[in-house]
Amino acid sequence: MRNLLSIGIIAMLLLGWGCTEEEDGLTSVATEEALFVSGEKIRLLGRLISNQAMNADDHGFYLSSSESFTSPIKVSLGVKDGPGRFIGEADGLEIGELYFVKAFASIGGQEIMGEVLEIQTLLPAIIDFSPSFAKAGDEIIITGKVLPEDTRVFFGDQEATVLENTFEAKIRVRVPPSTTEKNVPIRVQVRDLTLEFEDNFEYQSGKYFLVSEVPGGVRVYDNIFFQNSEGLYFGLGRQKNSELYPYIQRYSLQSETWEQLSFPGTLREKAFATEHFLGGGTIQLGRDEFLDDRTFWKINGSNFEKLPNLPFSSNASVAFELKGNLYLLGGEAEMARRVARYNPITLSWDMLMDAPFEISNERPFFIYRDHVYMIDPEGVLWEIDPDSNSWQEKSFYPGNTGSANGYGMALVLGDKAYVGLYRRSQDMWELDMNTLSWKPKNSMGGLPQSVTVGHYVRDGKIYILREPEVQIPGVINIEMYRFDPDGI
Amino acid sequence: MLLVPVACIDPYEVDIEEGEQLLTVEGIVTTQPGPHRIRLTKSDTYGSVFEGLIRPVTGATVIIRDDLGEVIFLEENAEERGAYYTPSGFSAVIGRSYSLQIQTQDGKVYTSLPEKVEDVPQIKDLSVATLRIPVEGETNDRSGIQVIAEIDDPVEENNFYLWQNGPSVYVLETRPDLYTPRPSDTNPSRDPQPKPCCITCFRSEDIGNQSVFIAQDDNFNGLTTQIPVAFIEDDGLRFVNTYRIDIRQIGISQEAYRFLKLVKQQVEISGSVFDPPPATIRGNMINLENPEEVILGYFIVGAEDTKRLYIDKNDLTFAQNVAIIPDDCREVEGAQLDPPADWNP
Repeated sequence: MRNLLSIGIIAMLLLGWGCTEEEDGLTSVATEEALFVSGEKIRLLGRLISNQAMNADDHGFYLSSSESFTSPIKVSLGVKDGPGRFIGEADGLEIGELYFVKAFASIGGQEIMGEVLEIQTLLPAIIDFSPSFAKAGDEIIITGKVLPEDTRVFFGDQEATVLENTFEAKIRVRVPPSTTEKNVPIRVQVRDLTLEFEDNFEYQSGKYFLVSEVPGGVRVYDNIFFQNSEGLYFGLGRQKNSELYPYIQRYSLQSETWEQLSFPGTLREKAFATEHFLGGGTIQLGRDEFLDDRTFWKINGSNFEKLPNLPFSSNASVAFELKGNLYLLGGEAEMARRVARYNPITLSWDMLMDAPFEISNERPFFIYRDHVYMIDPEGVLWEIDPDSNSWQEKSFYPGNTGSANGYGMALVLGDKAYVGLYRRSQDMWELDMNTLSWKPKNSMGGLPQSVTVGHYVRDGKIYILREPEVQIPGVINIEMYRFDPDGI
Repeated sequence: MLLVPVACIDPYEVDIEEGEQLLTVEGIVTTQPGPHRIRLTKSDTYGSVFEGLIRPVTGATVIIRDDLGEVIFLEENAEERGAYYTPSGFSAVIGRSYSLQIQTQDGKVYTSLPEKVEDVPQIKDLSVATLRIPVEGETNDRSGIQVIAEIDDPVEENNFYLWQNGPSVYVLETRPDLYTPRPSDTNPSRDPQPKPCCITCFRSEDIGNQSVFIAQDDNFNGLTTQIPVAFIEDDGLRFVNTYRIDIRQIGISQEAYRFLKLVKQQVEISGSVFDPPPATIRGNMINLENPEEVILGYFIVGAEDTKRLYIDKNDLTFAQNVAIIPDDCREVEGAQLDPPADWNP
């Protein structure tokens, strides 16, 4: 009996040892991390974990705005050979929405799910745009965050072409043509969400309107121009055929007509003229033979009254009236640095300290708050108080002042000065006198080989006389333009 | 005849796989003002000798993106290829998460797992201890200064620390009176030609870290503790007068700590049987197209506190023999006559 019991126990033990239990492999799925979250896109990292070789029929992620995953978005990545990490991406999501996401793997017809993560899609935002000033057709960069590929950009009502979207953070767009407005808001549209910058974008502006043409095909060079209450004047100087021009033309803004006035003095070129005075200049008698004209005239409306002759020659001088006095700066040859002041009350001339650089009427200048501003041949803007012999460098003209140029124009309208239209140049620049910052204006267009022969400010508007250079053949009239600095 | 074939030896050709060139990412972005550097290189085969060069990865587009979608663009330094810098005004924000994204010239896109900026307590105090390290076969010990930081560890959170050396400056003393130029055609003399100047300069250097200084607060959570955070070797020049160093204390994530701990184990392998086997340590970078690609390195973010320490020669209990540079101190790289503007020992 005892033997039988022993044999039975041993048999039972052997039976137990003989049974080998087949253990199933352990396989699970992990929803690891959101690698990227945007306004409408999520990139997820999952992992298929197993202690044995296995294949998944499908794997990927489920996304849903409901915790119960009703109507989920399925990101299917297909068959997966063996365990490991996987990355899936879903786009077209709602911005600023909470989503529940989980990884899955389908193995042998059974879906294994990972844990659920909550992910909030982000809200777009705009930060900045640069430059804030440009012309239609230029490119600007808009910076922000969460700006997806389908982001649209509007300048006012005009939609811009999006050229590049970098990491949803930088959008490069081409500035669309403006309709009428110079300053327009920039709006960024992401789906139904519209974002608008606080500061407006400014279009490069400046429009030139052809007002009139000087009749008779006359073209003059080294002429005078001035203005007074009766109109805008230009004249004298040398004609295209090298003969001296005997008249002064007056344009009436009221009647919009030109009137030819006779000048009682001798004909001349390179004379000076201001609102109240005219004089100087020269006459070419022969090859390299000149006769300076020292006659000096007072202008009363459209009449001319002779004054005592100038005590010196003045050819191609810069002339302006300041604080009731007439100033003549520079001129040709030995006059180039001379500064003279005429007192109309005492009828006397004073010679002031010389200028620090050579000056002629090729140099554009303007007067602002009792100071003269002039651009030298190197482009330096000088602030000048001739009475105190104060010459200070204030800024630098960013336009072209090449040696072949000169004869630029400069005028002031409010706190802005407009400088440009040098010979063979169509550029115009705006100088903010408060900040001394320069801003380009739209170019004038027209014949590039042109020269400015007169410029005026009247009733808050700028008028410009422009004509082809002397060597341009044909009958081409001098044209008068009105320049609107804010025109689009 | 039987012995002849036995004497022939066929060389055994071993086919060793080509070492894979792995992208390596190194970079720490902290709450201190930038610029912060991310360095991208490609590893190369390593054996008994270097068989290749560790090449910088140039021309990549590198950005850092936070969890609100704001993107910081990094620019490659023209003089330091493969080093990409954040704008100087950028600093990480505590609580925000940041991802590093890299697009290489061959079109591959890599991203890091988001790393959250963990706060870090201030360095309460820094002290020094002289350390002597016996060197086998040498009569003279190596020595240097061990910097010990005292910190009040916050109780409410689990903290992980990384310490790094910042820039350092020290008073360099040389012997221009011993200057002996190398003989040349124009100056064949081998006699000393003392220079009138200069004996004392201030030399700046970036000594980096010889080890990985990390800690977690499992053993000192909520307590004040002292931890070694840097070692500066005495090279016979540094501690002749005064030495200054900035110690950076960075609060890092648990994952970054684990990574650095593994790195520390690997770099401190001494060759004993108890060393861990060498292995590739995975960081937190992933190739979007191929998540299984091995990418080395780790993109670390964290809050940073920096403290400055002046070490006087009298703080050392053992010093190396003074090294003599027989020249004008200004001739030494990184040395200048004037002290830094903020030199205040």
